[in-house]
Amino acid sequence: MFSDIASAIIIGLVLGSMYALAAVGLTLVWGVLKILNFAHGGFITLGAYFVWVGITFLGGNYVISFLLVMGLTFLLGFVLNAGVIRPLQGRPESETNIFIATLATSIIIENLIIVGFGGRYKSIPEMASGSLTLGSISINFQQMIIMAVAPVFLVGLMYYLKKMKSGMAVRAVAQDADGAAIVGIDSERVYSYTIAIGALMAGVAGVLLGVIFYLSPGMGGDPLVRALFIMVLGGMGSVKGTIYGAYIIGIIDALARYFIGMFWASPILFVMFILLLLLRPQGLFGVKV
Amino acid sequence: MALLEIDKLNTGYGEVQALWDVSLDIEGKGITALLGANGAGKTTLLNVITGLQKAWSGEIRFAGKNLFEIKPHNRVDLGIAMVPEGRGIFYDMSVYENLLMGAYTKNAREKTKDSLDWVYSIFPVLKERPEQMAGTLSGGEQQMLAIARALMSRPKLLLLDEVSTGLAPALVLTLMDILVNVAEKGLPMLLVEQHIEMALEVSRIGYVLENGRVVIQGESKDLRTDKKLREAYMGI
Repeated sequence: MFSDIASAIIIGLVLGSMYALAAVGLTLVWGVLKILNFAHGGFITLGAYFVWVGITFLGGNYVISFLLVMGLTFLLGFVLNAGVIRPLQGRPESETNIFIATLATSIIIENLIIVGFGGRYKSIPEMASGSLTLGSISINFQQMIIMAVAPVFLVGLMYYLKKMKSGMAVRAVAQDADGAAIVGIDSERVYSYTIAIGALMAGVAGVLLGVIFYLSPGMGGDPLVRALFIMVLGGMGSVKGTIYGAYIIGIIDALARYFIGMFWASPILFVMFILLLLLRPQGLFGVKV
Repeated sequence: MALLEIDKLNTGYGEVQALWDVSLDIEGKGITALLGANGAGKTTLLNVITGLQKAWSGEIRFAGKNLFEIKPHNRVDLGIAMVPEGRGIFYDMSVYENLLMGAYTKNAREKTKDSLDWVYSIFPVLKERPEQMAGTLSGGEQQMLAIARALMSRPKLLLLDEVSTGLAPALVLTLMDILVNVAEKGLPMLLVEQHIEMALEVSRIGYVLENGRVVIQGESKDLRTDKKLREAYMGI
């Protein structure tokens, strides 16, 4: 029993790591721009396929492929802003329209992937084989890498927001857009790199998902739904709350899969989501970027 | 030539016009007062100067440059700083972080350390608690932080929107003393106020806005005894 619970918690931490990366960009963009960026799911998928392309066609180098994903998703984030989000901003019904347009972007990405690579499942070769056994619990090296990589990015993002001038400007815009404007912060620029950072985080989440799950053109949808739940749980716009929320959901998700059954995980999370909306819609931690 | 020249400015919200052919000059020294009742258009005028509100027509020149050719966020580097009504500080940031954000622009950033010493000498209370979250400061301290943050950009003109709102009278007097002191040391200000008597006390020139139009203007010492003004605004 103990080892079952311990194993489930380890899986939970692995899932939580991926969910945290998937959700943190979504919540950051919400906090700063007050929009829901549904292209996020598409960017998760893109991250996974880019790393697959890199490994398959560029000689199997994980590090280079990973850097490629980071660079490409970051750049495409700027494209997403300039081509889809910015043109709709400040217009009537912009909230709904941006929601629809970014969802459409996700669908376009999904279909471009079908056109380019087909709809069949793909898999990324193992990054590292073998596992570490501690008594009756075993952790494979891939899981360990995921558990180590995610915090690097999450801590990096927190450091950026807390300590660097341009990161502080992101928080300033989120807290008081007019106040930010009068100290000379160019909010348009902050918007574009906030979206790019969110896209990069989604791309990295996609890589980690691709490492342990199969790749499919619609693979970004499920983590996007989880990310939305996590965002509400953590308090819309709160980066820190979202990170805690992601690990909580990851562990619940894993426990449900382990003890109740694979297919019960999603329904259980949805019921919890409804309860959360009814009982504590402001999330666990309130709102702070 | 005045530091800031506003010429026949018109603007509004949607279909509703808020400013009608407003023309006024702000001198390069001392305090200029902009007076008027609620809804007269005072804040709107400030927002056009900083760029938060777009002008319909007219012209604003700052140190000879046409402001409408300069993007709002670049106007700070040109030397225009504002303390907005309701303060506009970042509540979930510390006092220190707020001040750093005040020195966000390129020119100000290089002088951050000197500027910090300067604003801490003006407002010692801020120096005592740089790590405190701005949202947990008292109203008066928040107002001081808003002014200090504006000073961090090393402005050539400071726009002050209703700094006395919500503060105890004694605190308002203290703040005014500080502002007068800073102004005398060479920072011109535009003071927007509903406390007309006090504003005329500290300013050299005064303008009165009514329904979006400049209706009275002149030297503050003359305005203090202006019959029309006293009847309309001071209830005397």
